[in-house]
Amino acid sequence: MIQFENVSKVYPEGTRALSNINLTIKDGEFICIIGLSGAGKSTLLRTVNKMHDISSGSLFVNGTDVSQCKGKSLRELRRGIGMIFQSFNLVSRISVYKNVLSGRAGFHSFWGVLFSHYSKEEKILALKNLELMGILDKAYQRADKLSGGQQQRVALARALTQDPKIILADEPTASLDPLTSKQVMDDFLKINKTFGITIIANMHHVDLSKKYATRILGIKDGQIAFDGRPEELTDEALMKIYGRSLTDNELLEK
Amino acid sequence: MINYKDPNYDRFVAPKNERISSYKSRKSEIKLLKREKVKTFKENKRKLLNIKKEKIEEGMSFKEAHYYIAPSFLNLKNRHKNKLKEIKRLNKENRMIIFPFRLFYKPVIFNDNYLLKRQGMPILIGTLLLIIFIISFYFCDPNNVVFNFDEIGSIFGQLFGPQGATSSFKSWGDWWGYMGNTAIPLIWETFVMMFVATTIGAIISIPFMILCASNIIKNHAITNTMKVILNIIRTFPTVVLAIIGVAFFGISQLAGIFAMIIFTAGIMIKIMFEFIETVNMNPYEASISTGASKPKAFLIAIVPQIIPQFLSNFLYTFEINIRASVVLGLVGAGGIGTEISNAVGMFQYNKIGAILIPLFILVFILQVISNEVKKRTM
Repeated sequence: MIQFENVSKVYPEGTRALSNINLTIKDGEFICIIGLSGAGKSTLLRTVNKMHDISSGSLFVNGTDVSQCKGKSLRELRRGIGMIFQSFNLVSRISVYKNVLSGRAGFHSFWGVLFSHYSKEEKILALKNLELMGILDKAYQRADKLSGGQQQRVALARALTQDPKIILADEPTASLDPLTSKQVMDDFLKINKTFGITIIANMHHVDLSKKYATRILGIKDGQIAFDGRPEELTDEALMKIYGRSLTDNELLEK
Repeated sequence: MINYKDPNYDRFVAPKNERISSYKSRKSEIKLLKREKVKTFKENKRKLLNIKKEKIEEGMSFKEAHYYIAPSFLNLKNRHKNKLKEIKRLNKENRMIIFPFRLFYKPVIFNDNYLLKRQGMPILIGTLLLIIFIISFYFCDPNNVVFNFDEIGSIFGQLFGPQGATSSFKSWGDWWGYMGNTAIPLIWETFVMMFVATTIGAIISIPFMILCASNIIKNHAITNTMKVILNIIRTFPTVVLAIIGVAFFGISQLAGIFAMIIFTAGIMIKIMFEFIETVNMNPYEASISTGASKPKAFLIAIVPQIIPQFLSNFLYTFEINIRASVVLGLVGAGGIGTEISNAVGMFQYNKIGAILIPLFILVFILQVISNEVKKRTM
């Protein structure tokens, strides 16, 4: 469970990214966050694992006060939260398998990582997750030899190998073509359904969000402009979030 | 007042005294404008600080009050900065009335708009370089410049083989014997010395290159201090390092090794920290997000990116060191240098020839290995 209470975020250079966010996210939800660029979607997502610190208010993740987390407790918090990025953020020179296994780094000492002293169970877990994502045959290839969709699946497998309760996805489909976007979203849904992992994703595609999410959040100017089920996302609500209604050509499929 | 909108008139047509009076009146106008802007900025700043004070009195904590006014304050500051920039531009344009021709700007008039086209910089730099070159050439003491092709020819003639007036060899067999018995063992000694020195230097350089990289170490006091120290170390010429080494360890190979360790570390740190600053930081961020500590994230995300560069720079530095080690012999710090300086002193160029051939082969082999490593790791 994630609880935002009066959360605000002001960047050092003075931009007010979030103001007075009150939000409760239950376990197992599939949440898509929509809104204009610069509305604060990314900031909201990154406050959950303290990639960005909050300025005021309080934020609890599974009962842990995030703003109190430092050093070891922060790393333990992050260990339980997977993160997916728009540009996949894989280490391009090493193999897919090593990339996936690096998700376990938080559970080992520095020397354990240096000599890659991972246990047998962890190695099996990594391969299992690659199999789940359907890219087991690519395990020993270099990560940069894969296509965009495959790389995003490797990133998903890496996040899964952390054995997380929550997965944050920062625009996971923004650099993928429409078809691959759908496949990746299917994978998210599979993870959400089979493991009950909470998924919070920033999205640019309204229709993809509507199709996959169990709940949609609309962010405008750092505040929540819409919070409800996908069916409730009417044209008026979109108007509120984006400041205008979407035209047909802005949808992925009509 | 003269119509300022017509740049042609002000800048090129009007008589000088008219232009000067136009410039002066315009200048005082701009000054007033600036004073006004500064005044309003100060007023607004005071207002904001008062709001902050009120908020603190109302019970807000200092930090909260600070964040409360921070956005508007920064906005204000930015706007003020832009206004000052605008005033600077006005002043510059105003100066054009008196000095219509600027060195790097060519006026372009388009639809009554006065544009300044930047140009002439490359020409100026080129001219400066040419002047510096000519001056340096002049100070090279041209009296000593003698193109003595005969001498060069005779030296080349003496390099390979037992011939020559000062030669200590009686036959080709002697010459080859010298190469096999003296030159190659000395080069081997140099090779081993330099390998030890380069390896130790490269290993020592690892922590320092990280401390210099400003994308890894966020504390810029540390990175800047390290960079200053690095530059100080790098200014020492190899000979000076070798002399310091000799002072420390006496006339021995250790002195040479010491000098080359410092030399290697200087080069490696410099090249590698600059490379580390350009690596892709996204995987590092991803690794941090999985709960890895910063050293672990560095290991996972940055090290694979820099290993090929590290290896190829290691080999490159090794090659530089072998050639630079000739200098070490001059101060008695071991290696091939002593033999070379003795041979030159006695005009026995054929000894140098006997040393050059195996040295050339060694450097060539290193080059081939270096290319292979680059090809395989990139």
